Amino acid sequence: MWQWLYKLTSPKWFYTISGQLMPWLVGLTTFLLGVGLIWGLAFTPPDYQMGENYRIAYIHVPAASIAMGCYYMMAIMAAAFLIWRIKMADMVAKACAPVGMTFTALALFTGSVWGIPTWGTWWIWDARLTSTLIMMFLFIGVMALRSAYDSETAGGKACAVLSLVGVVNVPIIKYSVEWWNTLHQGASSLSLSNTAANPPEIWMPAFFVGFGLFGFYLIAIILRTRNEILIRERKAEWVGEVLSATLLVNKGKV
Amino acid sequence: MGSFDSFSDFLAMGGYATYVWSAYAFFILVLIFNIWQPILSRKKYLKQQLRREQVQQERAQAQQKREEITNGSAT
Repeated sequence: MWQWLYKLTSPKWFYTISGQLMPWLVGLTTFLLGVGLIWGLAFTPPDYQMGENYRIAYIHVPAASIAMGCYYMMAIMAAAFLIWRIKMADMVAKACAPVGMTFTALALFTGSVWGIPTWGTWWIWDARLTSTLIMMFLFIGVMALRSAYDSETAGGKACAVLSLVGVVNVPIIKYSVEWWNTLHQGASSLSLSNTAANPPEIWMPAFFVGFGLFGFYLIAIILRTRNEILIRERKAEWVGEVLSATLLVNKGKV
Repeated sequence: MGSFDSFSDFLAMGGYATYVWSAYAFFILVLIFNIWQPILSRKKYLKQQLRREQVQQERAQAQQKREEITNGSAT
């Protein structure tokens, strides 16, 4: 276990393993997303109050939970970078910010579009929506902060501190619907924490989309991290070999 | 298909077509962006490295030529 964790901190090991893992991950993700989306869009029965409009939930709920998970991931990597100075952790943290930002934007957009016919408004400053918007600004802030530094290490450290300070916001998002009286509903049967409220044929598609979107999230993080490894470790011998091999193959194409 | 009577019913989404389909369109957009952007920056980086390699090769060749000329004039 410890040896495995130690190996994870090696860029070369990460690059090799993620490359081997990628085709399997892409296959599994495509399958899960395909089944979940078709099932949720066309085969589940309509809601008795919201009609067909509730189908937005099949992307809204997974997008929001993965955005929050992405923030936790970024904060854990930030801590690992600050405490143990693991370069690999900083590279993953850097990859988390843009991915998390787009997933948060997706949760906000689908929520707004859903809110127009059901709430009568696309936006309201209630606790759930406001704290989610703050999370999106935190992701954007981390990206802006990193681009303000020339030194990769100094920028990484500053981003790590900001990520760790902002992590307090994530449980606030999660429990906002319980702590305050919000227009946003509480945890639905589409989230893992409360499956008793609806029969499985309603929440099963959300699980497929959820795990599929998690697979997609891993793919997005891995793609960005691999790029980062090639750039930061370009002086390492093995990266030189990888680069000349890919350049040789792509000479005609790039 | 499924819980809908026809394909046009499916597209109409019980009158919520604008909301449901714009949400799913944004979803697809987010998926495409998160794949396309890293692939593009990888290509850009590889191109840059290829150019750097070419410049180094040209420099080495020019250096060799210069040495040949100076050696030739000395004899």
